Amino acid sequence: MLLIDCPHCGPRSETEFSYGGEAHIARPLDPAALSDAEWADYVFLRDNPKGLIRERWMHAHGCRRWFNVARDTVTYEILTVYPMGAEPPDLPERRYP
Amino acid sequence: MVEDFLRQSPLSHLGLATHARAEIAADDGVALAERPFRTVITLRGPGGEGAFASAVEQASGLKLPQEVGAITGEAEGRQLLCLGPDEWWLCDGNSDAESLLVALEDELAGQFASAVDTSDNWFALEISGPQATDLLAKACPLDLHPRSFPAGRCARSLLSKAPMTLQKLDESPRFRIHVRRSFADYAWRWLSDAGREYGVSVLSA
Repeated sequence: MLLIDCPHCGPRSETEFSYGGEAHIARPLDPAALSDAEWADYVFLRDNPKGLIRERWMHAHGCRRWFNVARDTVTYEILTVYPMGAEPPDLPERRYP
Repeated sequence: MVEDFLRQSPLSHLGLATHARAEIAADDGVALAERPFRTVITLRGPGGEGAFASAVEQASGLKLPQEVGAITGEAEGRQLLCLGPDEWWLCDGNSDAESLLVALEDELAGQFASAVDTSDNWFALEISGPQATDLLAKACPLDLHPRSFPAGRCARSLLSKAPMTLQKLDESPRFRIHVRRSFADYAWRWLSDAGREYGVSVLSA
C-alpha cells in the first residue's frame, strides 16, 4: 500500500487515489500527419521501467486534483510529488538489472 | 422549493424512530444518529482573498477557509468547509437552501464561479460516544488521531467503499459524515454492524 503525499491534503492512503499512467506524454500537434505506427506509439506504447517512473495520480476521494509523482517501481519509494504542467524534477535515472 | 411533506429520509424503511433514544446507553460504546435534510451548497471558484472570497463572505456571513480541510462557522449552525483548492461546501442545519442560494447568486453575478444546491444528493449521520474513533478507524484510511485530525477539521475520504465527507465536530468525540443519499442504507448498516462489538445506540434524529 502506498502512502501518497497529496499536494493539497497531505499523506493519504493509496485507496483514495486513482492512477493516470505515465506522465509527460505530449499529444502530437498534427495527428493527421502521423503514420499509424507513430499514432499507435502515442496512444498505446508506454515505458515499463524497472526503476524510476514519472506518473500521474488523482486524489479521487479527496480534493479531486491531478498531480505528478516520481516513484521507484522496485522499492515503491515516492521520490517527489509535483504539480501538473510542471517540468519534471531533475532526478537520477534509477535502473535495476 | 421542495415541499417538506414529500421529503423522506433515505433510512425511513429502517424504522429507526421505534428504538431511538435521547442519549447513548450506559454500556454502549458508540451512538449513531441520522441527520437528513441538511442544506449543502457546493461552491466552486478561485481560491485566495479575491472577489470570490468576499462575495461568499457577504452572502453567507462566514469567512472563506483557504486551507483544504479547514472549517469556518459553528458545528450546529452554518459552516463553510474547504474540500479542495477551488471547492467548498456551505452547510446549514436550519435555513432553507433557496434563500441562501439566491443570496449567493446575487453576490457571485458576473464571476467565474458557481453555487449549486446539492442538499438532496447528500445524507448526513453523526457518530458519537467513547469508541466513535475506533469504529470510524475500521471504515476509513485516514489518520484519526486528534494530533492529525483535531475537532474543527474536515476531510473527504472513503467509508468502506462509499465516498464520504467527514467532519470532526468536537473531541468528545463526535463526527458528522455526509455520504451520497444512495449510500445512506449501506453506510448505516456498515457502521451498525462494525459497531456491534462496542454496542450501538441509535439516537433520535
